[in-house]
Amino acid sequence: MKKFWTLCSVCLSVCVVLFLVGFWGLKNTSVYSYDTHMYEIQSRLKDLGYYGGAINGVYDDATVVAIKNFQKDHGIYVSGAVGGVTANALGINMTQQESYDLYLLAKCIHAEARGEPYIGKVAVGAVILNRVASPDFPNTIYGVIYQPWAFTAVHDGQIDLEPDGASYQAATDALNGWDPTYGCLYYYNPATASSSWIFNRQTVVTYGDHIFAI
Amino acid sequence: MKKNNNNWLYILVSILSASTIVFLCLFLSFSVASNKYRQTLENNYKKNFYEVASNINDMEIDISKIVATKDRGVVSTLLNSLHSNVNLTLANVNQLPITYDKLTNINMLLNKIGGFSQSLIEKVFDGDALSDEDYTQINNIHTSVLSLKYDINNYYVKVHSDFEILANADSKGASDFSSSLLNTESANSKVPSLIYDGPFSESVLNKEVVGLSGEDISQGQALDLAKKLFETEDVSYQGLVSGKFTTYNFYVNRDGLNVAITKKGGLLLSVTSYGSSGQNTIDANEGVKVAENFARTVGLDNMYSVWTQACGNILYVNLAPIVNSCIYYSDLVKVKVDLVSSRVVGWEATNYATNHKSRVFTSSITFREAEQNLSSILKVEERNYTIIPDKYVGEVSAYEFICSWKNYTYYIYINSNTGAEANILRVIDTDNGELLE
Repeated sequence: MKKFWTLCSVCLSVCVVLFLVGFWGLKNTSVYSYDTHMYEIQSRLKDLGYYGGAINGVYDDATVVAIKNFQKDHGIYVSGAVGGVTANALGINMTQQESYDLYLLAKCIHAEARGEPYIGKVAVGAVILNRVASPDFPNTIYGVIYQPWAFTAVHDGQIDLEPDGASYQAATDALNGWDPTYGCLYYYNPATASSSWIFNRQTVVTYGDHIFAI
Repeated sequence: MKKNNNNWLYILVSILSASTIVFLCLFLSFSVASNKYRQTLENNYKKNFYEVASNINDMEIDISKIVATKDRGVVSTLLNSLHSNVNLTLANVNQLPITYDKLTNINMLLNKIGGFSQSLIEKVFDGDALSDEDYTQINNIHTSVLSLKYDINNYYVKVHSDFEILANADSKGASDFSSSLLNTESANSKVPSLIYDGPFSESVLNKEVVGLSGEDISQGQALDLAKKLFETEDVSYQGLVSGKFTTYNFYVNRDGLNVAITKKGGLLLSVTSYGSSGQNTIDANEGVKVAENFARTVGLDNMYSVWTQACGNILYVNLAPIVNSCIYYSDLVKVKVDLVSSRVVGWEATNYATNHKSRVFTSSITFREAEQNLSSILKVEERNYTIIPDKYVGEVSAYEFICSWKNYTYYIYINSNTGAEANILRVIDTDNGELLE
């Protein structure tokens, strides 16, 4: 009988440990913010010896600690956040609003069309900008991109992938006025689209797997 | 033997008990976390909804006050408040769990009110009083907003009591807001027909194409043109595309270029491609020459660089026609020059195809008089005659002043007929070169 209770005690201890580990894991899976410059900030902090974690663009506890230590050593108000003063001290150029728009557009293009030909990437960017200009949609790039269920890749989190060079250039082209869709407001992949509504739109052109429609 | 059997039983029971406890603990933890996130999401949706309700109430009050006052200062303040409330409502309503296709009508209503109020703000700012036609339109808008306000307020009571937005979401996650509050038919009746030349007016969205001249060309003629422009026989036909423009589309295999040539007039409308990588072989000045020469090959004479932006191996060159010393900014052609291969890898002539025509620069005031309207802190570096696009009246004649202050460079446009400042742009440095904001 004594063995039984010993075994139960061991099992319970294991449970408590597992519970604590699980709870700690959950606590640490809370949503950290991603920042446009976080890759650069982490990389710079690592170069300077303040950060030893992964360069993953995630503004997590380790990054906050590294930023705080850097701020403390450089006589900057210790906040754990990177503003203009900290960015300057790190030697990082904080970009303007246009660059945020460009970055977000590039992210959406990458998430939605990374397997598509280049013209298909530009076309996706153009559709987003056509929506911004249309009265039927929000009038900002982030408003259009983050409309609920407007883009599958936003809904399932692929929007957080880091865009590649082609997506950046496609976004730049679209912002410069390139529109291979001639004003389309919609696109869909006929192999995966589930809404019957989208099939009733008038098709203009097809690039890669995407059909562009008005 | 019996004791051994008992031991195994004890072990089995212990493992099962432990596993059950572990799973229960994990389930509890996940459940707590899940509920926490769900509540956070529900709170955000409710906050968005309350803000929509509050802003629409404020919009209705602003509009009713505009109708009741003639004081220009008060009208101006109310219009600004209305414009601000419209933008806030737009932002919040588009974050509610409603699929985007079901928001079309409320977005159109809000965007039109926003565009209309902006046009009235500028009218009042220019010293004009609101016309009877304006007041008729404001009355129409008031009726629409009032109707929307009643709908929202009915839901407000519901949401405030026991309505959970997330719990009323359909299989895609969309709330039944979409089928009741903002259903297509009722929202459709709320969109007033506005007669104004604002940014969302039909005339701007469906602008007539006036820049294409000449007869329709055949697919064969377009193919020959593509081969000639890109100096290669390796061009394949991709199809006829009919949108705002009808174009023959080709693919230039050698350079990976997607080329579109208009059916009417045979104008090179666009070239789209990703440039090459490697060491630049030409600099920006040589890149500008490549772009200007290519424009001449296309048949667009008098096109000169007015702005460039370097982005890695690519140089974006904005070309504008300069006729009788006047820059036609409405007809901009954008060219991408690959600084590695020194070839044109991008071309965008939609503005040119839509707007290009003969124009006359008109003025009621002189350059000197216009310059007096500039801030005294600015140092004028360059002056130009221009035709610039205008979101309300299509385009206007304007004097361009390129000025400096501290380390900033400004492009200021003074309407050459009214003396009013038509636009002010500042050059800003970004990671991708200089931009105009």
